[in-house]
Amino acid sequence: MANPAPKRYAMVLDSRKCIDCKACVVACKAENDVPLGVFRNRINVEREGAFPRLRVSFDPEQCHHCDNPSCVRVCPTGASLQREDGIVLVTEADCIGCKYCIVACPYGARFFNEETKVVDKCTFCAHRVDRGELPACVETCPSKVRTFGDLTDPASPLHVLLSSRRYRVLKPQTGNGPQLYYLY
Amino acid sequence: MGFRRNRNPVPRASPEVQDLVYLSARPGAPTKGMPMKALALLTLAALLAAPLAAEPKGSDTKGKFYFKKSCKSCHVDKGSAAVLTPLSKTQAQWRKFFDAGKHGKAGETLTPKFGTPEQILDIKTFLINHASDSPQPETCGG
Amino acid sequence: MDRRLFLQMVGAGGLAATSIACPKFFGKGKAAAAPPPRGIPTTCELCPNKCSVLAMVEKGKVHKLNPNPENPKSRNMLCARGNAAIQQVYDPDRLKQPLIRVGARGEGKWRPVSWDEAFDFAAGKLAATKAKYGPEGTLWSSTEGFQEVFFKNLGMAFGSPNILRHPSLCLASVNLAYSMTFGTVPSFDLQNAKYVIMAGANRFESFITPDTMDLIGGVMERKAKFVYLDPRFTVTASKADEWYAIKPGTDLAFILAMIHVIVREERYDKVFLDQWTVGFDKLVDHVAPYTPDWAEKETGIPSADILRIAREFADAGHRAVFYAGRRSSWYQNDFQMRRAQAILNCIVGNWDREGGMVPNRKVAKGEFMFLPWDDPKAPRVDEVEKNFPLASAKDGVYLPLRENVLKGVPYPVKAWMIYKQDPLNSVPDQGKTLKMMEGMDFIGVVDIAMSDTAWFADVVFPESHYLERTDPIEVMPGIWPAAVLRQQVVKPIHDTKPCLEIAQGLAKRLGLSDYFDYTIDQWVEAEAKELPVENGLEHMKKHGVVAFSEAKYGTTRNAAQRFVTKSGKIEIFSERLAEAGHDPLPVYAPPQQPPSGRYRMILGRKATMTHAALANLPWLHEHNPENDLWLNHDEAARLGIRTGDLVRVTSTAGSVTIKARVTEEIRPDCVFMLHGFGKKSPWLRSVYNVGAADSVLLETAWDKVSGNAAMHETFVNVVRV
Repeated sequence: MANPAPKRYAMVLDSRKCIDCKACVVACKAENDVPLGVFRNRINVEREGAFPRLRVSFDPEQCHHCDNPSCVRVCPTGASLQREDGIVLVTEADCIGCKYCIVACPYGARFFNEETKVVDKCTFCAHRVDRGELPACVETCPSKVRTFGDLTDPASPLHVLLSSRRYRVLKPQTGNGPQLYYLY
Repeated sequence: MGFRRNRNPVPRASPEVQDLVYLSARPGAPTKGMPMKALALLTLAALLAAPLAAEPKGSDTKGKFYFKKSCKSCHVDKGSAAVLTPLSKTQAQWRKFFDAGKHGKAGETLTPKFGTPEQILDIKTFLINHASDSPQPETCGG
Repeated sequence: MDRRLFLQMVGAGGLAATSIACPKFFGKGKAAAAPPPRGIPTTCELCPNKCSVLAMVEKGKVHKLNPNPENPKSRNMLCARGNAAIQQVYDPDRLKQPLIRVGARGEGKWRPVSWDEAFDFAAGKLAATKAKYGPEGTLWSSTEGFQEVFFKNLGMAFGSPNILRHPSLCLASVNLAYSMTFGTVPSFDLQNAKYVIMAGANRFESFITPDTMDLIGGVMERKAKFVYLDPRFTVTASKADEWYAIKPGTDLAFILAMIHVIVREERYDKVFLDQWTVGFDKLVDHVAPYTPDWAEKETGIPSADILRIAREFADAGHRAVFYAGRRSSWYQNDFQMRRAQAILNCIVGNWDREGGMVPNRKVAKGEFMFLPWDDPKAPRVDEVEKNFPLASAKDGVYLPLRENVLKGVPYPVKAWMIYKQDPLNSVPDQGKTLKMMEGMDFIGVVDIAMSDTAWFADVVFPESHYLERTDPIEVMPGIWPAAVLRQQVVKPIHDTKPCLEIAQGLAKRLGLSDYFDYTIDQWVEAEAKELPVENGLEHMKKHGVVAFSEAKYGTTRNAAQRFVTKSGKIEIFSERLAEAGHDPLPVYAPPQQPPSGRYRMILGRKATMTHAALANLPWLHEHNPENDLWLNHDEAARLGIRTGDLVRVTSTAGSVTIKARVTEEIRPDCVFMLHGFGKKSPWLRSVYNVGAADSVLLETAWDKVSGNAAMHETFVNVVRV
């Protein structure tokens, strides 16, 4: 079988539909055995205004699986790596827990897992994706905020959204090339 | 979402109240010469229980069972007779049917073919309690 | 029948977009992936929506619950609570074997016993109560669940009239109001509605069901207009096109004014009203005084807005809905407020139309025939027949019942069996509930965890978790109706039993075995036989669900249609209400307002812990570590209270100490606290003595027609400690 063109996984988030219900966060805990008190994904909340003119926004966030990930660049052992399909992972066996990557990540996406004694983060549920499934957070989301897919596939729903809607990425100035796309 | 029709019987007045109601509600019932207080009581009782007056006194729970056992053996979807549920008729129509006591074109009697007189009364109770014009508050959950 | 069955195979839909052919892209580590493991289909138990799930089991342990895409009613999602259900199974504090109390009630001294001993003990107590007080001396209360039927049946077979279900703490007022109007309780087609008004039903925050998803889709993608009324700035308020912080208890005034405008300007659906309804002529006169100017004074919502909203609503016609649920009753006029909603919906003609209110369809199923028992001889202790003649008599009315039991009228009730319910937290005025428990000779509780109520019981029967048992097939009615099976996913990990076996154990000792002479498999088999699918039982075990994926509109819009009402028509004016001594059309009376220095306590839920029982699960608790008292910024400044200060909150029912949260997101005349904290049971370690329980403060009040508990009728004062 000939090598197919490399895939590039990414996620589109329609934050307006996010209701801060935490389904994604709990599903991630269950799927990935994430310890209590630390999180691979989160929902950022911003509130403003005075009664009764009020506003609140919810923005889900996790590892941006950047194109040019600073965490991978600073890793002294190669434990932090980027797959050909763009997914950024930490190889547990190679991680020495120096935490350089935690500091280097502009998105606060990484944390030190006290149970495994290595750095931990969102994997886009690579183990599920490799079986042809969706990441747990995407599958479980009640209000369907998240769309996951392959940027190189023009038929992917992700592609349709990015070609028809306005979007932004967070902190583009870091040059990391983040791959979480937030729709306006 | 998650609503489900309540199959429970309608509220029924206690036997004493029902008897009073029956007295006062029946046309030509003796009211003359009654003390005003008693009359007022009767009227009040009638008012309280008006939609519930003259219910037959069989068992609703058993009636449901015997209705399913005796009637639904034929009166079901793809059965040998037309589908029948309590909602198929109004309370008055059910009452009329049971008062006549005749089944089908042949007009056979309900007992013994469809049950003992007690069982038929239970079925009548169930059907009238759940007829298409009976009060049927729905419930939530199973 | 042209109903198309939704029988799609698992995995066939939805996932194709990400399928991967080649495992070559691995940077390091794992070998080529096996085909996706197939989960065991079953049905979530954590809320009334009963979503279909696929349980992923590894080495006899459930490690993940995924949504089952086959059930359109669960919209291929699983909320935070559904995901956290695994933690209930493996909760170290879970009830692991039957327990008999050895110390004083609430002292927490328990003796683990065998099932035989627990059954003998409880049956002895129940029989003794029956001997002394008759079967009516026992109370059987429960909350909905697929095995509730067995618990209820045990109480009825025992001969007690006092079967007390949860609706009078829940939706009894909604159900009754819509039943009295339409003869049934419809669903709301939020997927297709163009204009939605919601009052207090905080659907984006408190509770996640298909309605939540449909409305989010509607508001964000289809540009449906969404108007929301709530004294608090909730997540739902934040997503609405228009949010009004309405004065609490005045929803009825807002609705009546809307009806007034639509009637005055003849924006109603005349053809519909002529053909299907009775009493519109009486409504015309009835709403004449309820002008928008009048309503502005009551609600605080500008009359120009009420006028505009009424016009927009009527213009959206059959795609406009005033959404009914879900939420409990809040005020003593709740039934009439719901009736007004029903009437408002009715006059724009949204009945049984796409985007409107749609009568529920069902999936046919068989029924297991068991031996019926005699009807109880005694009347109910809550006197529902006398005082709430229109209410569902076999559900009962919780608060009036407690009043009677406390007074010992009309007769004494001395034994209380409780299934899957925590009255100390779910029923207002915890002090009174405790007093009621003190008066009992015997209390038995069936639950999966040591709830506060279980903590005060005499015997505790541990039930198997939903992932450990098979339940009856349940029909979930709706626009997209489904029949679902909950099947055993893993063997019980502790010495627990399903409710049916607990009922059977007691029945055997009470001489009632004949009524419970069957197994769950026989029960399910009888139900599966009449499902609209080949090999029903096999299908259900393999798929977990049979559902209709296509909505059907207009089935009741035919000339022969007889609505299940007294007149056979939709009843705008209700003779039956008049006969029962209630207003046949909704009449407004201004609610009592809190006296100076006091605040109205309002309640609410969060989707991570809608029901109090779930607050203890670590995955949910870490998002809600402690509840606090929301207090408006200006009021807090006046009282000298800052966020984090401890405050004493006092009502006539009780008093609690809790941290304050000073916020802009609530009206100045209200305070709010989240449900589910301040637990008395140390076996709920995350929430034991953490925060405060709202039930301590809530006073006893109920809706006049349905008897539903009115949860927003409590005024409190707040003092810095």
